[in-house]
Amino acid sequence: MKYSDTLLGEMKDKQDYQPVDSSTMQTFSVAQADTVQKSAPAVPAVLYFTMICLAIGVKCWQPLAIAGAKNSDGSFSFNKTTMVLLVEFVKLLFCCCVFLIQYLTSATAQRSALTDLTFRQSLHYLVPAVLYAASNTLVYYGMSYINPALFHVLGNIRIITAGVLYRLMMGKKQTDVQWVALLILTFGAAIVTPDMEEVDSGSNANPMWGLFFIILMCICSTSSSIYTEKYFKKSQDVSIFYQNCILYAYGIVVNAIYLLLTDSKGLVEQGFFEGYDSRALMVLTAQSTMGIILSFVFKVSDT
Amino acid sequence: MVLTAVLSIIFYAFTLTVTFVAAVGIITASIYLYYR
Repeated sequence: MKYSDTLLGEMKDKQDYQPVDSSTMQTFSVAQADTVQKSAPAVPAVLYFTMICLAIGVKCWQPLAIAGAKNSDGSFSFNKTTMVLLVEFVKLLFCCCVFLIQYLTSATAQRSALTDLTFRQSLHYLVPAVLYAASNTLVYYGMSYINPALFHVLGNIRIITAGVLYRLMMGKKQTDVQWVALLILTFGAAIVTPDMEEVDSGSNANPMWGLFFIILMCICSTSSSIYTEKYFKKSQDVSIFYQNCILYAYGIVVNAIYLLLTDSKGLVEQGFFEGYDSRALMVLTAQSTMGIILSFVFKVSDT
Repeated sequence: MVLTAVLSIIFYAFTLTVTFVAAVGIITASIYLYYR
């Protein structure tokens, strides 16, 4: 048994083990899953604090940037799928650069282990790639109906979905206090929903759709996290950045297929970058930065 | 949540309601209870 397995076992025994993505957004990645398995590397407190502050700032900025790019009728000037695709592409580029540095600075004997993944094994990444693609697209659908503040509050529903899905799919037992906490959280989310009607009464459609899309987004992102945790333990010697590269590459493929199936005509007539302006660029920056920073935060922190 | 709410008030004229504040308090407490 490897050390990481032992550590995981110990964490489970102590019931300290929690779903990693429970309090985060939709960008849970393989890098984050890795933190579940390995002890956190030592990072200077100042650097760690700076990273946490940056993560909070970017997480706060993300829904604000999306809201800023919204038209008065709740639509976006850009195609949502092309935005998700571009975000995945930026993250892929970044991960490729980091992996290259890691590869070149590793000892020659260790290099083969960093990429020790067959094509068949890599196909496992298709599942989280599909789920993340759905989750990342649903963010825009949800944000079409509600404002950033409510989006953040309702985003905590993922803690409920994580708690329930981890129990059902992984057999993880929650304590009575934790079930009570989840009930209280449900109550908290429930009492804020009437606000959606008041705040977004100017919108043409029913804002409750926003709640529906957010719940769906939470289920997708949590399911993806569970799958990642369940199946990627096997490849724990492989570089986490390499795994992320594969995940993002599959994400691009999945989104490209979805784009071709749903809007190939618009793509041909208007082009890929139709509707991209400074507001769209802001969204792209916010989404990409969030994914990158969160993966680093989870890389250096424990659960 | 709090930071986003504050920035939403500043940039998007978000109206702070009693239920919103109560929901933030309840959710924060439940997260603390869940992870403590």
